Amino acid sequence: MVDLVATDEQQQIANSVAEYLRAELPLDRLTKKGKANSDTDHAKWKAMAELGWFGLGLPEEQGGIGYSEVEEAFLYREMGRLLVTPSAIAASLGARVAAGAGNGELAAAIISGEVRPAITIATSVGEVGPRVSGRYQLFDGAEADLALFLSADGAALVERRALNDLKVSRSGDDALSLELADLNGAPTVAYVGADAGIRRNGLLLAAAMLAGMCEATRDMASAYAKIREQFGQPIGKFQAVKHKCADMAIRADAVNALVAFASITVRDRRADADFQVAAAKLLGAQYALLNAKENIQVHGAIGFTTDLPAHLFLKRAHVLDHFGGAVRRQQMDLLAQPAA
Amino acid sequence: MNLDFTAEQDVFRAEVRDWLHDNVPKEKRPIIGDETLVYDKAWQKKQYDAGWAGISWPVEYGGRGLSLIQQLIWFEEYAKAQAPYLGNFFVALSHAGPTVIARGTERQKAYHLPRILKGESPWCQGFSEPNSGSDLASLSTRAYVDGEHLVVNGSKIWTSFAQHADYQELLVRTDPDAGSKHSGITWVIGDMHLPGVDVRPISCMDGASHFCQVFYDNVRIPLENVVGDLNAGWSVAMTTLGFERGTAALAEQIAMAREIERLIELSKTRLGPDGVRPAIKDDLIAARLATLRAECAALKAMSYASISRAQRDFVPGAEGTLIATYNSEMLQRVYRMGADLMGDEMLDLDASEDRWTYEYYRSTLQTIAGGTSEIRRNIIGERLLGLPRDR
Ligand SMILES: Cc1cc2nc3c(=O)[nH]c(=O)nc-3n(C[C@H](O)[C@H](O)[C@H](O)COP(=O)(O)OP(=O)(O)OC[C@H]3O[C@@H](n4cnc5c(N)ncnc54)[C@H](O)[C@@H]3O)c2cc1C
Repeated sequence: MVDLVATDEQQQIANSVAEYLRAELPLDRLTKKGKANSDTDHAKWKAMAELGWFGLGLPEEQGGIGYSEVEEAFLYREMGRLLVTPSAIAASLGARVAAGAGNGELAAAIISGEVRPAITIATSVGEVGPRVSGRYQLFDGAEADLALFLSADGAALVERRALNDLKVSRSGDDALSLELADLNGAPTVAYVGADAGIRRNGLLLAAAMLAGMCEATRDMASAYAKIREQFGQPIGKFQAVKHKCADMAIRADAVNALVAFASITVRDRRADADFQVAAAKLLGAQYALLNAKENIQVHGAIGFTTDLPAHLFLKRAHVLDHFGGAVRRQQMDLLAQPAA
Repeated sequence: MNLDFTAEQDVFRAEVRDWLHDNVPKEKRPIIGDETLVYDKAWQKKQYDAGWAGISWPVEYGGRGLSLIQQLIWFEEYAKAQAPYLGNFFVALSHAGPTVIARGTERQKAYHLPRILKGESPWCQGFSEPNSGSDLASLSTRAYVDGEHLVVNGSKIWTSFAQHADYQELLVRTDPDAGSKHSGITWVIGDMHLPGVDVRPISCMDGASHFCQVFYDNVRIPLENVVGDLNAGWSVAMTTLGFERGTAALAEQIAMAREIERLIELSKTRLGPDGVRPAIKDDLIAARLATLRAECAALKAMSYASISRAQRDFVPGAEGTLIATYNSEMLQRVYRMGADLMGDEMLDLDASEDRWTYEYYRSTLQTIAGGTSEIRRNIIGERLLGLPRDR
């Protein structure tokens, strides 16, 4: 029967993830050390793997935990709230690619945190097949063993050492390193075609992270609006500020409901899954960007500093927007779908 | 979490679909004048006679006593069948009836509910006054108790359907000396045909929808018409507004998804801004249409989530206001899109096929009626996010 309320078990998963992340990967890990980086995320990588996170949505016979895309969306929403590195997405997808390509050993190594993949974003029309060509951005890949490549044609894993002539560049997201790769038929260690639906899974995970970011920015802005006083009153009493916060709440609620809905359509392999996922990715990015911008505004000058993670929500939203195709691309894809 | 309907619900859907397919009136609903009343009454009676009125209303008062999900299915099929707008029965079916069910006496239920479902008695809502709009609780239409009656003096305004309604959700001030403005208010069922009630229509920017100003000159309403207790009408009014922002909005959303698909079809046949290629080839138009699709999908998900919570008897909170705000502003974007797709012809009301310009003009009311967008954002900020109150 139609039901969009989390089951007790799903709620428990979300709660335990949130509890772990608040304790081990608090947002101030990104503001304390002068410059944001992903060191803590990688220090906790094995621990996160041991909690079963990277195999959460994979069937047990493929070495996973045997939950579904629905529970996985809860996990990634919580990760989004704390700006956990998108390498997590690369791991959840990478395990699927390896398992799908029949390389159970590699899948197991990714799930256990032994082998670490990172995400890439294509900057040219390339080719993702048994070999990979084209220009790519590799994010947070400095310590990675593998790079994950996605396209409409399929998904592939390539060893980092097969990425010749990586060029370090300055990253738009302070917390994630950026390297540029120019590939010409690089060999893959695992490849699956489009029918494996890896790209769709990736869009859903990114949308889930963006949904969590919409919530986190909403909460951050309204918490500050309650304590910061000007003109003798909390700024949240001014409607100009209150209404911004209200808009952030509307956007967070919209994206969250849509991500939950989309995750069910993917789990159940419903005919409208592509439609719902494109919609979720599109709105997720659009709304996370707006919420991040407004969160900075509500904070005033301190929002513009690196003492607060407010700027990182904006920058991360851009990375996730471009991952798997940015808003304009999602709009084209969504319009090409039949009505849901 | 699940999106499946049960086999039983699928059977129900098929029955609904078949019946609507055979019975939705062939003639379009008139949008103005007394013809609307004749049309709306006939359509409501037809539904009642066939057993389709009041899907989730109690059986003992003529309803079907079915679940919220079945209500949802009815709305979905209703929209798909392009069945007519409830019009003069909108208030009665979407919030007056539900308020009487929730808060009324046995006698009030037995008298009014069947009359609504049978298409006999349309209602209107007498809440707003010339000096009390957003600040509804400041209302000053006065009523004093005289024996077994309330005697009402004052005026209500922006009362939709008042010219056709038999009854009214009427909010009056019964105790002007009560401690706060929220106490001392009474919710009473007003009979629009009583002596001393004077209804004057007001003309509107869409050229069609009419609301009225209603004057009360020593109107005597029996005390037994009070819903809830004397001087305790504010909480009943909140019940009414809860229904207005909840179930009533759901039917509209479902219709909106359909409108967006019609816009996408329209954009393939109408010429775009270059006057050469179809409108959908224009980047900006394509982007707007795609975003509307995505937003409408989100709205549907929000509504499903809200129904899921209601089924578990969670107390409905301010999240109805979140949905209402999103919904009403989206509707305005949808109809603005329609008007834009008409190009220059949007200025020619006879040419704008499917009445896109009319709908666009009309959609302006979405962010005013039933609580303005500004008031809704105050509610979200204060009740949902806990920001400090402003008033
Ligand atoms: C088509 C239509 C049908 C209607 N039908 C009915 C009906 O059937 N029955 C009925 O009782 N009423 C009806 N209404 C009235 C409706 O409920 C009121 O219009 C609404 O509550 C706003 O009140 P107002 O028009 O007096 O505007 P005001 O309250 O005077 O508001 C004017 C402007 O000021 C803003 N404003 C006011 N207070 C605040 C605040 N605290 N913070 C920020 N901004 C504020 C408002 O948002 C608005 O933009 C209808 C209205 C319309 C447009």
